[in-house]
Amino acid sequence: MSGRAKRLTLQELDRLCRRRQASGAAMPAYAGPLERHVQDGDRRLLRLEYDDSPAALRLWNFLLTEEDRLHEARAAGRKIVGTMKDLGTVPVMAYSLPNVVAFYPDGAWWTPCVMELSEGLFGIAQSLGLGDAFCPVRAMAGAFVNRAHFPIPDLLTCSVGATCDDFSAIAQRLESLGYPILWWEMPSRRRPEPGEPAVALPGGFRAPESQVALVRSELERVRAALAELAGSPLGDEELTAGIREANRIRGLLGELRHLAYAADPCPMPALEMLIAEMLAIHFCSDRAESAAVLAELLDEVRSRTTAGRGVMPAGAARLFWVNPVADLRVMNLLEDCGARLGGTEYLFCHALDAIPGDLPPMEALARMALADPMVGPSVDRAARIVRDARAFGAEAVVVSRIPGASHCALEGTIMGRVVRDELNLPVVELEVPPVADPLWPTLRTRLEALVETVLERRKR
Amino acid sequence: MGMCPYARAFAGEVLSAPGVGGAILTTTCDQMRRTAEWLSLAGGPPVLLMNVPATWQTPAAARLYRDELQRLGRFLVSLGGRRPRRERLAETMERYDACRAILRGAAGTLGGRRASEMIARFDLGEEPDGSASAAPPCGTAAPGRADSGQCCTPGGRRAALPVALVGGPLARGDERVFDAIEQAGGLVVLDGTESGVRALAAPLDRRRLRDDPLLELVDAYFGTIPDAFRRPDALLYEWLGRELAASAARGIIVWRYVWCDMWAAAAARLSEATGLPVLDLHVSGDEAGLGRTVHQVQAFMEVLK
Amino acid sequence: MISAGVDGGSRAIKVVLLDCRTRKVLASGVCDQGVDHDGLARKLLEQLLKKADLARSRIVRLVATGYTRNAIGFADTTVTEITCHAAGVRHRMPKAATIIEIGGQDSKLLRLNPDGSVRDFAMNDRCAAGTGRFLEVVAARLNAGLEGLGDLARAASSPAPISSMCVVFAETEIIGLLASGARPEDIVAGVQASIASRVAAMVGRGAGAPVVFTGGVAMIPGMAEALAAALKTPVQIAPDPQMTGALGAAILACRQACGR
Repeated sequence: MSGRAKRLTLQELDRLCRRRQASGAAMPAYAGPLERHVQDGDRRLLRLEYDDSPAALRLWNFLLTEEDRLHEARAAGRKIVGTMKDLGTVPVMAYSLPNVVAFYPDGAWWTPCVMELSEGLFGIAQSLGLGDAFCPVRAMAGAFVNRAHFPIPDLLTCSVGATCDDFSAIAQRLESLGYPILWWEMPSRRRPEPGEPAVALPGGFRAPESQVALVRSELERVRAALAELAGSPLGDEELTAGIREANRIRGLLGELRHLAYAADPCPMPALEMLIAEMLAIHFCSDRAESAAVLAELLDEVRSRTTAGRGVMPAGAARLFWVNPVADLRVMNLLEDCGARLGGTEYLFCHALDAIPGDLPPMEALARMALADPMVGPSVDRAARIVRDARAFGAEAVVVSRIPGASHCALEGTIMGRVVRDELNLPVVELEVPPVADPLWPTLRTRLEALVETVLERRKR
Repeated sequence: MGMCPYARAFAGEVLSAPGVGGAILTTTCDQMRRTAEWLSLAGGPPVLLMNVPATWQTPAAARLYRDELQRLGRFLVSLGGRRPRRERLAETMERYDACRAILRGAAGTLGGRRASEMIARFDLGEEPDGSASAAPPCGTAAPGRADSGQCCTPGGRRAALPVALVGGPLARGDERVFDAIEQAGGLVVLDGTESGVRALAAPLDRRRLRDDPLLELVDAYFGTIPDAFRRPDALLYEWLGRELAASAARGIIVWRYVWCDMWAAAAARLSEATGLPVLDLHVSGDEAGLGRTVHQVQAFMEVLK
Repeated sequence: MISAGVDGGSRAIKVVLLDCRTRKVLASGVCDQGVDHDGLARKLLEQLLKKADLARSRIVRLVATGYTRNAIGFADTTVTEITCHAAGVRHRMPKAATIIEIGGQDSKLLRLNPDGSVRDFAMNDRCAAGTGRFLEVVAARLNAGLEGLGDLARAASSPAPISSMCVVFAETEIIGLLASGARPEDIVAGVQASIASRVAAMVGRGAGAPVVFTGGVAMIPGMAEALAAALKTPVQIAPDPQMTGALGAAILACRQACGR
C-alpha cells in the first residue's frame, strides 16, 4: 500500500468493514459495522474520524462491545468486579482468577462522549446532586441507576485517600444508593524522611517502606475479597501468572507507543492511540483479546513505519498530551490543526510500566500502585512528563483540563512550570468538556497557535 | 479556576501573615493536598502534609494515623519544638479534653455565633473558662450586638426557627452567616461545620490516656470525628441523625465553598437522609457572595416558616 | 508588492495594507463586526484600496487572523492572532519581550524569544472578567462611554475593591457600590484594577521586560497604569494598539510572499 494513511468517516469505515466481511477476511466475532452502535444511541460516533486500517476497525469494535462481553460473562456465570479509581492494579489481580472479569465503571465517563447526551447519564447524575462541578466520571452514577449499560458488578472496589475529591464523592454517593463498596486506602505518596527506610518504585520514584507496606496490606484485603468472590484461591502462583500476562500487554503497548510517538511521519492517529492506551488498565473486559488487538495494531504501525506511511505529513508538530479528553473529537482536531502526538500522560502512566517480576507478587503490585503519579505531588508527575517528552522529542506540551476534576485546579500550573524550566517548551492549558462544540473555535485557536509557535521555533 | 476559595485564602495567609514558622495541611481533601504542594514550591515556610486516612474501619488506617501523628511531632520538633514526655502529653490532652467539655456545654446553651467564636478562639490557643457556658438572661443582647428581640433559649419571648449549620470550615468573617440566619428569624442550634462541635473529639478515656496517651489521641480524634471525606461516611450520618434529633432542628443549611466536592455531594444526600429541608450554600468567599448568602438564607427561612 | 492583513475580531474588523519592500503601512482601517464577516471585511478592504489608490491585483498575499479568520473566504491563508500580534508588536517595538493583548472578548499573554518569535502563550477566553467586556458593562452601568472611563479613573481617590470573579456578579457588585454611595470614579478604577489583576494572574512568575500592552483595551486611558500596578513593572502601550493584529498578519503575508 502506498500513499498516506487516511482518516475515514464512520460510513467509510463501515464500507471497509463490509468489504472485509464479504471477502471472508478473518474477523473476530464481535466485529461489525460501527453504525450498529449509532443505532444504539452513540451518535457522537458519526462525528469522529477513524484510521483506515483493519487493525483500527478491530480496536473500535473491541472497545464498543465491552458491555456485550460483560453481559455475556454474567450470563455464563462469571463474576464481575467493578474496580474504581485505581488505574491498573486491581484488574491485574482480578484477571488472575479463572472466572472473574473486571472493568472500570468509571469508564462510563466516556459514554457521553460517544453518546452525545442521548442517554442522559449526566442528567441522572444531576438528579443525584452530582452536577457539572463534578468531573465527567459522574456519568457512572447515572449508569448504575438506569442499568442500561454494564451489568451491576458482584463486587465493587474503590481506592480512596490520595485520590481526587470528585471521584471519592461520586463513589460515596453510589454507595449511598445501595451499592456496597470495598474501600481501600491509598496513602499520599511522599518523599522518605532522612533515615527512613525507603524503596524504589517502578517509574523512578522512591517512597517510604511503610507506605508500600500499607498499600500491600490494603491489597491483601482486596485479594481476600476477590478470592472469596471467585470461590477459588488467589495465591502467589496465580498472581505471578496474572502479572506475566499483564506485562505482556504492557510490553505490546510500550512498543506501540514508542513507534507511534517517535516515528515520522506519524503512523497512527491520536484517537486510536488514546483508545489503545486505555486497554492497558482494564483490558476492555477480555485480557487475551486485548493483547491480540494491540498486537494487530502494532503490526500495522510497524508496517507503516517501514513503508514511511503516516496519517500526517512528515514533520508535523509534536505535541505531548497530558490528561485524557472528555470529547474524543479533540483528538481529531489536534491533527486538523497540523499536529501529531509526541507522547502522552493520560493519568495512568504507571500502568504502562512493567510490574516488577523479581519481587513477590503482592509487593510488586503494591509498589506499582504507589507509583501512580496521581497519588503523589504534581512535580513527580511533571518529572515523568519531562522524561517522556524528551524521549519522544516533543516540541510542546498540552495540558488538557477535565472540567470539575479537583486535581486540575493547581496541577497544570505546577507541571507547566517544571516543563518550561526543564525543557523550555511552550505549555498550553485547555479545557475540554464532554461535548466541546461550543468551545471549538477557542480550542482550534489554541492548538493552531501552538503549532505556529512550534514551527517558528524550529527555524531558530 | 476550580481552586477552593478556602484553600486559596489559607495559602495566602501562610505566605503573607507575619511570623508563620510552618504550615500543616492534611489530605482530607484534594484541594488542600495540592495546595500543600503549591505552598512547598512557593518558597514560604516549611510545610507538612499530614496524611489523614479516608478509610477508618481497619487497623491499618489507625496505624497510619498514629504514624502520621508521630511524623507531625517530628515536624514540630524540627521547627524548634520539644518532644513531650508522656506525662506532659497526657496532661495536655486532659486539659484540652476539659476545654472541649466546656465548649460542648457552651454550644448547647449559647448556640450560634458565640459558640462558634469560642471554638475558634480555642483553636487559636485560648482555653475557655467554665463560666463561658452560662447563657445570658433571656432578652439580654450579646455584647456588641443590638438586641434583635430573639431569644436563644426555648420558651423565650419570640421563638426563633432552629436550624443546623453543617459543612466545611468557616474562615474569618464567615461567622456573619450566623448573623444572617438570626436576622432572618433563625437560630443555629447545631453547628456541624468543620469549625463547630462536630470537629471536637469525643471525651477521652482517662485510664487509657495514662497508659498510652498517643493511642488515646488516635482513638479520640481518628475514631470519633465524623466527616464527609471519610469512607464510608456512615459515621457522619449517624452523628447527624443523633444530633439533629436532640437539637430539634427544622432545617439544614449546608455551608461549603464552591469547588468543594465532598460537601457538595453530601448536601445532595442530606435531604433524603434526614427528611429535613436543606439549603446548599456554596459560597465564593468574597464580599459580593455575602449578599447572595443573606438572600438565600432569608428565602430558606421563609420556606421553613 | 503589497500585502494585506485582515483581523476579524469579535467586535471589529481591522485591515492593514503593507508595502512589502519598505514595510511601511500604506493604509489601515477599522469597521464594526457584523453577521457577514466575509462581506464586511471585503468591503473594508475595497475602501482602503480606493483610498490609497491601489488596485486589488497589487496585493500579492493576504492573511486573515482573529476570531472570524476562517470565515474570510478571500484570504490566502489564516494565522492565529497570537502569532500575528507578536509580529505586529515586534515590528513597531523590536525589543518587546512580553505582550499583553486585551480585546473585547479575550485576553492573551505572549512571551517572546529574543528573535521575536513566540516562546509561550496563555489565553483567557472563558471568563469575561479579564476582558474589555467588563469595561463595556461598567460603562453602561455608569452611563459613560468607553472613551470617558479614562477620565473617570484618573479622578479616582480610592479604587473600590471589586471581588467577584464573574462579570455578571461584578455588575451586581457595582450596583451595590453605587447604592452605598461609592463614587463612579472609584468604581471605574476598581474595575480596571480587577481586570489588570486577572490578566496578571496569567503572567505568573515575572514578566520579561519590556512589557507591551496592545489590543483595543489598551486605548482606554488608565488601563496601562492599572496593568503596570498589577504586574509591578512598567508597561508600554503599542503604537496604534487596535491594529497590531492586522499589521502582524500583513507582515506575515509579506514573509510568505517574499520569503523573508
